Parts: sequence; C-alpha cells; structure tokens
Amino acid sequence: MIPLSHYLALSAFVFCAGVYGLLTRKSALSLYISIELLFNAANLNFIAFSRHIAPGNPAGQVFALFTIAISAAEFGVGIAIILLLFRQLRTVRVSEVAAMKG
Amino acid sequence: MPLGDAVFYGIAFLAVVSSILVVTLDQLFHSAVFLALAFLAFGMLYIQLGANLVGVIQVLIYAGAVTMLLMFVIMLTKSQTDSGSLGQRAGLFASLQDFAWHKGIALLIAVALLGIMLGVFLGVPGTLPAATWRLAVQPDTSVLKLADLLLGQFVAPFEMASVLLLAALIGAVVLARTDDAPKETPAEEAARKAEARP
Repeated sequence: MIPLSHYLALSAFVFCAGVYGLLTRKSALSLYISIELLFNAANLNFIAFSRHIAPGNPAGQVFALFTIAISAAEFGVGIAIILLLFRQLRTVRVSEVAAMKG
Repeated sequence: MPLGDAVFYGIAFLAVVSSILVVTLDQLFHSAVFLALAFLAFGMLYIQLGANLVGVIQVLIYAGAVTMLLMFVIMLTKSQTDSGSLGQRAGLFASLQDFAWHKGIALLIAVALLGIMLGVFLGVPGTLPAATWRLAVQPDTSVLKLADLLLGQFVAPFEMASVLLLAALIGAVVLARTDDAPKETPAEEAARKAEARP
C-alpha cells in the first residue's frame, strides 16, 4: 500500500522542476520541455485522485486524456511558431527575441 | 517492503532524477532524451495505477511523438545547447556552473513552491494499492468503461477536443508554411549585391 500523498509529492516535485526550468532556461525549446513536465505532473495528480476517489470509475482518466490531447495541440502550434521564429530571426533564444518589446 | 511498493519507489526515483536532469543539462539533445525517460516513468506509474489506456497513450504520444518532434526541431533550429555556447564543448552541467543570481532566485521560488505543495499534500490521507503481479485472468474492463464514458457522458468535450486538434493542425501548417515565391540563396544574394555595386 502506497500513501496517496507520496504520488502527490512526486508530482509536486516534478512540477517544481518544471517551474525551475521555465524560470532559468534561455532557449524556447527548453521552455517547451519544461512545460511538458508541468503537464505530466498535473496528469499524475488526475490519475492518482481518480484511483483514490473512485477505483471502479475511470472518469478521472478522461480528464488526463483531454490534457494529453490539449498539450499535443499546444505542442504542435508551439513548434510551428518556434520554426517560424528561427526562419525569421535565425535564433530560438527568447532573450534575443525583442521585436515586440514595448 | 513488498515488491509492489519497491517498484513504485524505484519508478518515482527514476522520474525525479530524470526530471532534474531535464532542466539542468545544457545540451538540448541530452535534455530531450531524459525527457523521454521521464515520460516512460510516468507511463509506468499510470499503468501501475490501473490506468492502462492512459499509460499506453502516454508512451505513444509523449515518449514517441512529442520527443521525436522535439529532436527534429532541435536539429532543424541548430540549437545545440541551452546556454548558446556553441563550438566549445561545455561541461555536462554547464548551466549549473555559470551560477547567476537569477538562477538562485529561480531555485528559491521553485523550492518555496515545493515546500507549500508538500505542506498541503503530505497531509492528504488515504492509500493506494500497489501493483499486483498476477496475470489478468479476466479481461481488463477498464478500457470498456473508459470508452463508455468518453462516448457517453463526455461526448461533447470529446468532439470539442477533435475540433481543437483539427484547428491546431491547420494553424501549425499555416504558421510553418514557407512563402510560395522561391527565396534567393545567400550565394545569389551576394551575386546580386556585387552586380548592384558600381
């Protein structure tokens, strides 16, 4: 038997690793990698709570599936934007992209 | 400690170590490989929690498609390292070696957030059964229930998700499309400039 809190602690740790990555990384691709970590941490919470609250009813897994679909859509559009950025400015480093800075 | 529990803590250790490596390694390709490892660890956790279909989709979509796409874009955009130190072989933990003040602040924020979350989460009661190692005698019915829910109670969000995916597909194609007019290569541009110069 594994305490539910251990699953939550694991997902909190991965989430905070993703937050650290979001705050420190410089390349837009690294930022995307960090965002994927955040999505996965949230998904683990959905599934652990689903298993804990209603073991026979997989309604919580449906939310995890929707999260995966939305993150896939976000990832596709984001990659297209990064490719466009690279084609226009020859860089993907977010500190060097200041064209829209007010 | 029973075997099922030990397996959980092993997978959790794998997930923690690989997610730390993902955000600290300077070489983007190494980062992507450890991201795939973290995805696989999460997929194992989902299957251990009885969410078989989500675990399989995790491996297919995240460990397969997302990681592969990420590696292609890393190669396409020639972004070898995160710190931008191209050429000279940076150390494995180069992003930790040039410790700047903003990284200290980021670490402080992340640790404070982790402290708040752990303070809340460690008080949550309840236990979950560990994985069992018996082969399934009866067919796995969780996928049937999930299909019932997806195409019954949640059919409206399901259709909305498919519209969202279609919109994202079209948006990605429109964004990444090149102009129809052929661009001049750098050599042609240099030749044109040389001609224009008197």
